[in-house]
Amino acid sequence: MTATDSLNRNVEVQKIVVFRLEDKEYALEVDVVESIERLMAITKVPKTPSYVKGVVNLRGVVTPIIDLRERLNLKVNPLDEETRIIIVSNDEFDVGLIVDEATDVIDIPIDSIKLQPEVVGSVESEFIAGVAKVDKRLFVMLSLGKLLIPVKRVSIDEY
Amino acid sequence: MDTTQYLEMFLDESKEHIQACNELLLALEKNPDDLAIVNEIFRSAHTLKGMSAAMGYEDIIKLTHEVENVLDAIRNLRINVTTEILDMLLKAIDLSEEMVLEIEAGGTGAKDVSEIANKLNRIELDTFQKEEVIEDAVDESTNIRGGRALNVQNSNKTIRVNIDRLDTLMNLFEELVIDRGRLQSIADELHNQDLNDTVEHITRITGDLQSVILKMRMVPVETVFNRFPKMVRQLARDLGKDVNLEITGAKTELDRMVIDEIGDSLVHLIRNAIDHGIESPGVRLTKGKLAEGSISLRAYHSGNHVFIELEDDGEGVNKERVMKKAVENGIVTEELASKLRKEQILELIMSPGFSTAETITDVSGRGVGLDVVKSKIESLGGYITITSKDGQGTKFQIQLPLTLSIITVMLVNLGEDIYAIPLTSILEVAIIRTTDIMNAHNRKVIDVKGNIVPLVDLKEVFEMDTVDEKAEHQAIIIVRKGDKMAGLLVDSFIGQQEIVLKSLGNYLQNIFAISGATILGTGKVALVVDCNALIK
Repeated sequence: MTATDSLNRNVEVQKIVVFRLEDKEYALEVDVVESIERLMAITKVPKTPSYVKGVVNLRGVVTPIIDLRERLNLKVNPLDEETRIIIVSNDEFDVGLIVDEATDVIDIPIDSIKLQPEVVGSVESEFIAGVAKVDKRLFVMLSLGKLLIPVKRVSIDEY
Repeated sequence: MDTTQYLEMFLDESKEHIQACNELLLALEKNPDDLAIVNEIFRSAHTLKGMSAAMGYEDIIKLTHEVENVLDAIRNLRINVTTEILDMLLKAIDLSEEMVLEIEAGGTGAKDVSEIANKLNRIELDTFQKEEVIEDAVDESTNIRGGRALNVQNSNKTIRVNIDRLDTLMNLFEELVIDRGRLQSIADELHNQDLNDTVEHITRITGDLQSVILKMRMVPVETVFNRFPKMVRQLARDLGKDVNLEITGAKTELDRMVIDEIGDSLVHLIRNAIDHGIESPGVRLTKGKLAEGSISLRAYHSGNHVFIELEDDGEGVNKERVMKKAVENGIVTEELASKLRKEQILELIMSPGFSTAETITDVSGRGVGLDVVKSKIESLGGYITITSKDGQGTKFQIQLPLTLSIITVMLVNLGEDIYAIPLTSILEVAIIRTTDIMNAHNRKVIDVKGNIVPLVDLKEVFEMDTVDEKAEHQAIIIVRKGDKMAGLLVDSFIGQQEIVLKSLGNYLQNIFAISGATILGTGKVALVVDCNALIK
């Protein structure tokens, strides 16, 4: 669990961005989050996995958008007023994640972050870096590595 | 000392000096007596040494130090410039380049340089014995020679800017253009003279700004051409041929992106020309040609395009052999081959799976053929044509767009979305009667001026809901790839527009039939169709 390792360094607190999917709270390290955006016009991109909702114009940069619910195999919900797009970035590209609601940016003590227990809800464990329990809130820490594996299309159909 | 912050500067500048050394060494070969050139090389090598010392790259220091010694011996007339010495110096420069590239890739820049360093050292030591004999002659001759300063350093004031920053600038600029559009429509509603004037002014300014930004991305083709003289020299010597490379139009400017992409293709064509085109000196003489073969590389602007031509005066393409090979490799049938026109036969050498080299040499014919060159150029929105005269030579002409970032497209409606189709692929647009669509082997085809052209329903390809309404008329766009055509079925035409082509980024890779995206005046993203993928 590389994400947790990096959290365990001698820093005492970790700033996280908290968001809601269904009734659970999820979190990302603040370092990977570029910005949080309201819903905007998404252009569909044909022949991509269904969790890729398309691309948006993010201040002049064409940015792909992933429906996080669908990516994590949760029930897909219609988008509404509370829907937010969290723009995350790795070294190579930015991707927007559709979440139900962005709720918080908070500091949590590093040692509150634990490796994930055997079963965490229905979310596929490969996307999860760990869980953090602070006061009475439980945050599921997401790991970007697996989430952002590029979509490649190698085979060419007829035509 | 922490030197990481200087690393980029070191890499850029050392590459520049290495390139300068290469060019100057080749210039020296042509004018072995020109001491001004030796001085220039000495200066570049010395700077390289100094920079490496500051960064602590010991092996580069060691090597450049020996290079300096030899150059010093040359300029003090202790030794004469010979091909062997030049070879050794070029090798040393090559080795330093390898080290610099390794540093760039994150390495330590450590390499075993002792062999070349020792050889250089020996060249220099040998001279000490002869030194006394020549010494008398030195005084007079230095005064006569070495007078002319070689003007290689560009005296323009420049700064280095990362291309990413230019992209950011471009992105921000486009946002500005979109806002300008909105402002324009507000002004149109309000009918306020002052507002109208201001909007008009902004329109003019943004127009100027756009051309400035585009110009900033342009670099002269010499940045790729530069490395060819040395390559040709080396290759010609390896193959025992005598080749003169003549470069014209090296100052012609092209978008940085195109330049980066085109280099390998040109290398391939040049290697081909030397390996297969130019005959060996003996053969040339019996044919009544000069022993020295010539290759000319030309670049020039024409309209919205840049042309690069590569012409050799070698033996030309042997059509019989090409045809035989093409039939053997199953590219065409024998029956078809006999019907082909001359140009079509030449085209065959650029088809996949074709390679005429009888033996696979190190130089060309490694299975990577001209088809790769062709598809690369086509992917850049360009064309390559080949002409050849028996016994007189071959000429490749490459046509490239000035810039990849701005293209003219036809915007069309497909369902709820707007798609852009590059004008370079479009032959014509037409509205046809639905009854004109015919069926051949379960594929829809139409008759375009006597040609049977397959129809491609874009909505079907892009897996959109197709309403099977029986409209009386259909909007189609006839596109081409080489000499093949297809008709694309769309909902309706919007119009022609210049757009800024953007990549979909690294998350979405190789999306079928989509080459990129653009941002429309509304701020929404429209996808750009890659017609080449739609035609088999």
